[in-house]
Amino acid sequence: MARQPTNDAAIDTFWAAVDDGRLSVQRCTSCGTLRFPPGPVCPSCAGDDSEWHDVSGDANVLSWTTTHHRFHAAFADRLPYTVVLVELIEQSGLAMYGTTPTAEGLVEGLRVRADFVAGAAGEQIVRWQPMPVDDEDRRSRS
Amino acid sequence: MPATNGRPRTSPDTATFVPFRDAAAIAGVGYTPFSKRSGVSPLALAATAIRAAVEDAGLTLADIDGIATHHVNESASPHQVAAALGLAPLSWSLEELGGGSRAPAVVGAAALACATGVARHVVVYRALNGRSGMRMGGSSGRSAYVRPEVAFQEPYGLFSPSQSYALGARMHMNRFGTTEEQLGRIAVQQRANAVMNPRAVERTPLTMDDYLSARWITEPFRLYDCCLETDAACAVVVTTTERAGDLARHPVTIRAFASTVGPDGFGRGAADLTTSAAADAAALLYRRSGLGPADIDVAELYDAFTFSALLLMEDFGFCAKGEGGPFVESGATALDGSIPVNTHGGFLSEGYVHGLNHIAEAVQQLRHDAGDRQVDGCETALSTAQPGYLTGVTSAIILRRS
Repeated sequence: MARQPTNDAAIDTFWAAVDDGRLSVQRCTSCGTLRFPPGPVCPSCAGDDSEWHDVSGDANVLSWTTTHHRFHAAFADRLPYTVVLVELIEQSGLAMYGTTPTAEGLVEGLRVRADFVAGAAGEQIVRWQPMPVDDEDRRSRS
Repeated sequence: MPATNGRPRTSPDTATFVPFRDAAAIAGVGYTPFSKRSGVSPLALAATAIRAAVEDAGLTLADIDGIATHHVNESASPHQVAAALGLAPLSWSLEELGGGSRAPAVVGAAALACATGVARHVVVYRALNGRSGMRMGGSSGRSAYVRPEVAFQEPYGLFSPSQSYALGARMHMNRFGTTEEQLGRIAVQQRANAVMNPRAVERTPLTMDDYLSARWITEPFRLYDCCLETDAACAVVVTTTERAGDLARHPVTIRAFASTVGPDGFGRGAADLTTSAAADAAALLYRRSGLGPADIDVAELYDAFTFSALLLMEDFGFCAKGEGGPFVESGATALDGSIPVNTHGGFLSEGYVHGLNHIAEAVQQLRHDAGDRQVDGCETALSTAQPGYLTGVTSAIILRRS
């Protein structure tokens, strides 16, 4: 199922980037504060102008829930599934949702990295994957 | 921390609020039966509850010159109600957008209208076919609120408030060691209260085994962590305290209310879901009322989920942050505890009327009119809206026996 354009260009821009394999959020051109979900004005400095900024895709787990109840027909054959809330490493409080393969092993603060997979409607969505241990080791040595 | 453009997080100006204390009162309450399928429109439900509340106050419909409601999805608008009941012309009306966040705010607004002479007798109502119509719980397959965040939630299967609150509950468990059994205690205690409430939808005692063996909805929430969805209406009559003194029932005054907008916790400013916007509302409410948590005899807290009641116990200062679990386990919030919570059974067991039924229960407790579930010597009651999850909007009210 193709992604349907919305009447909000900022929403479309975010998902177009995801379709392109990039994770992008707005950045205030006045003060540099990142914001997500997108908004018309910078909540930190009230600046009007912003640009889209690709982030690293690294984040820390805040919380998660594994859903067993059928809330929507499109997710019926995926039950149970886990939704995770993460904080992007670029900025404190900059949070984003995503799917994750399993709730097993999740703890608050666990480092995860974004990749992109097909969602329930066939569209591209963000998946947060726990980073492999050797990958984290490399990071800590660097 | 959420951005605030340098503004203080709550208004420091409370001095001007003092003359409003106890100036208005709730003079009557009314309900429809609570059911899963009313078979009638929300308008018909509203008409029934409003007439019951007006009669309870010892008034007639001809006395009503103001009406107010709050709404999400299922509702009856003030203009429909006014036409159906022949109330026009009215001198004041209000129709606020919002479900769980608004009942105390709308009753507070009605109190302001009465205290300032804008209206003499205002009926506040909430009417919805919350089970047979559009379901707030998300089982209609649509998110109940239209918010920008929805576009970044639904692709992951996040449709229901239960899922968002579950994220908060999980964080609370991770940080403070809160257990499933502690959440279960809330469901079990409130059911025990509902057993003594003839209005309640669920009146069969619930055991911890029942709770723990129920199916998962969205972890860590099982079936009994989630409130009922109900077809019902509830209404209250607000007037001046002076006028209420001449009416049929013992007046219950509106000591103070607070209605705030804070960070929603899930959009901008997420990071700590274990303290809600209600903490700011609580500080404002206590300052405006000149009262504190130790002065509250009964607390009717927004229990869309067991966890929301626990969060509100902490954010309104009945126990320290993080200690809601042991606090509930101690029995403090049971009917015979130091601060009985949701004496009617709450949304978990009485029914779900978006918070106005919590206020109506507080009124009955303060009138000493709550039957077998009456809390002895009840003089002061708190009722809260949802804690400000999802939208950042919350409100709360303190009522007193005059």
